[in-house]
Formats: sequence, C-alpha cells, structure tokens
Amino acid sequence: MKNEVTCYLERAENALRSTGIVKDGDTYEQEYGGRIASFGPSVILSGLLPTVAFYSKDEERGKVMKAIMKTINLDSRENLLQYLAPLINDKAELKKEEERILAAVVALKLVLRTFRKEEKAVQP
Amino acid sequence: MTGNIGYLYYKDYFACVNYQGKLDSLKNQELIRQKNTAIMGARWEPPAGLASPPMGVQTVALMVTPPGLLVGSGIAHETGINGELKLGIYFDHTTGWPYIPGSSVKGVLRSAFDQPGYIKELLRQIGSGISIPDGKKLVDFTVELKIEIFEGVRNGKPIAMYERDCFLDAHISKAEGCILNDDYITPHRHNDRSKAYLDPFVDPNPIRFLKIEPGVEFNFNFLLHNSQVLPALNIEAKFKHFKQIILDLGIGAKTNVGYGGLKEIPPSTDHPTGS
Repeated sequence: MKNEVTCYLERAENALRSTGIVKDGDTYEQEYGGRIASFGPSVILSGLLPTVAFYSKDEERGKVMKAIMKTINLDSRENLLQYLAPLINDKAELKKEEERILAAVVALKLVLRTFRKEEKAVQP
Repeated sequence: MTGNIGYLYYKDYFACVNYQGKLDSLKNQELIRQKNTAIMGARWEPPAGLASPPMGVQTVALMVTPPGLLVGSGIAHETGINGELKLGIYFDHTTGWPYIPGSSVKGVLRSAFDQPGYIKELLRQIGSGISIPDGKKLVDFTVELKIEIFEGVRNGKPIAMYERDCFLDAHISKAEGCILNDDYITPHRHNDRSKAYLDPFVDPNPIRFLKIEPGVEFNFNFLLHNSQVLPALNIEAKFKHFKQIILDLGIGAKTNVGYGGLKEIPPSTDHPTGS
C-alpha cells in the first residue's frame, strides 16, 4: 500500500486543486481536513459501500468523492457508488478497490497537509 | 438479547442494501425498518464477569435524564434511505453496548476550566471554601490548574504518566427496558449564514437519530491524584468537583437543547472509592 500512496501523491495534488478543495491561494477550509480524515475510519467501521454512500449524500463530501475518483483515474465515471455497486458479489475485487481507494485517501490527506488551513471567523 | 448492537448499527445496518439503482427504494426502506426495530428493541444485559472497580479508581454512577443522551453524533451514518437513523453513536467494540469515551469525559471537564468564574465558585461551594491562593490572578491560576490536570505539565515540567489524572470510559451499569430509542431534531438554518436572521422562516429539516434512553445509568471512572498546584484539591475533592461539573454541563451532543443531562443516583448505588 505504501507504494500505491506514493504513486498517488501527484495525482492527489491535482485532484485537490481541480475539485476546488484547495483554492487559488493554496489554502483550504479546515472542514475538508476532517472530511478526508474520517473517510478511512468510516470504511473500517461501516464498510466501503456505505461510506461511499455517506459521502455521496451532500455537496461538500461529494467534492471529497470527486477528488478520490480523480486520484484513482476514475473521473470519467459519473458516480463512484454506481461503479462499486456491481462488485458487491465479488469480494476479492471489492477488497482490491477498497485498498486502492484507501491509498488514494491517505495520499489526499498527506498532500492536504502541505497547504495552509483557512481560519474561519466563528459564525452565529 | 444476545448480539452486538454496535455491529448491527454499523456493519450490518447497510449490509443487505441494494446499491444498484435507486438507493431509496421500498425494499431498502423495509430492510432499514427491520434493523431499526431490532436496535431499538435491545435490552441491556450486564456483561459476564462485571466486577467492582479496582483499587484506586474513583467511580460514580449517574443516570441519564430526559430527553436522553447522544454521544458520537459526528460518525457518518446517512445514505439517504427514508427512515434510516442518520447520526452515529459510540458503541463499545467488544460488548456492543453504548458507552461514553474517556476522551469525551475529559473534554467536558476541560471545557469547564475555560470559565474561571465558574471554577472559582465551584471551589468555594463544593470544596468547602477552597480559594485561590493569595497573590495569584484567577485567570492565570485556572490556566495553571487546567494545564496540570489535563496537559500533565506542572511548573513548566511534564508530570510522570503514573502521576497524571486518568479519565476512563463510562459504561452502562444499570438499565431497565430498552436502552435505545429514536428521536428527531429539526434544524432550520439558512444556507447563507449572512442571512441568519431568516432562520425562523426556513423549512425545518427533520433528522432521525438514535439516542440513549433516560433512566440508563453510567459508571464514570477516574484515576485521580492530589493536585500540587492547589494542595487543598486532593483526590476526594477533585472527584467531587469533576462529578459536579458533569452534572452541571452534561455530556455529548445537543446539550443546548437538553440532551446529555445527568443526575445523581441515591448514595447506596455509589461504589466506595478505591483509595
């Protein structure tokens, strides 16, 4: 998995920029750190498909999904959930995809830390 | 019932869901409905081999008050299927029963120390007149006490691990009937926060979630040591203060709307201190 993470680092940086998670000034909203970081534990806790479903639900987490798809060269696909759903009966293939996706998430998390966190003013 | 509720809520909850096609199909809704019935029908059984707390551990049993307790709401659990329980909750990995992590207990206690006036009043009332040492400012002293208890640093030097206060997980000690139930919160916030004044006019968005029922008792456990920053704050005094802070502030999510409240149980169910 370490080799995969290393291979994904460059694509992860491009993915973060193109999805808008990292803005022009090389800053990112601090919530995205949490969203990316909690993807892995959610896969361990609930499984890959439920986690992808959780992350497809809203716009901000949807950006994280798009970044993952770009990192693993699946951005031609419309929806990661619909790509993974047919694999539900093929445990070995699903496991491979899970490892690939988790490696991409680790790469995104590592690359994100090289950018500056944007401090938000406390909202009412 | 036997079985691990935590496993049912996380691993098994979406196991048979059909992800191909429409996620919010009637079949998926029915599957979720059956899982919800099983989860909310769970009756607590004491884990086998449950013993009294070991020597040195200070324990107090506190009971959840209405409307209930919600810990772990930050864990993702929403796919968009109608009728699903949308927020997470902490379950012990081994027993599968809900619990309160020690980190949550420590966090609540630490947050109280951000209010120096409250700490001063607490020391005065609960500590039978314990007061700030002469010559020290209240704010600075509270910070010093906070750093000693929660960061493990005293006079600029780290405290040895075995001399530091430990905040252990709180587990269920007694419960009758079903311990889990559903509830709804209905936030109505405008998406554009610069128009927050329009919040009362926004359509409410009902969120169904799982909570721990009122009446469930939790054992809160601490491994405490005498304070050297405030010598009058010995183990017993610290224990009383921490208990009062938890009773005052509550624990978990949505405390501002009443969740997470706790109350004391009659003294006969308290375990004696182990020290």
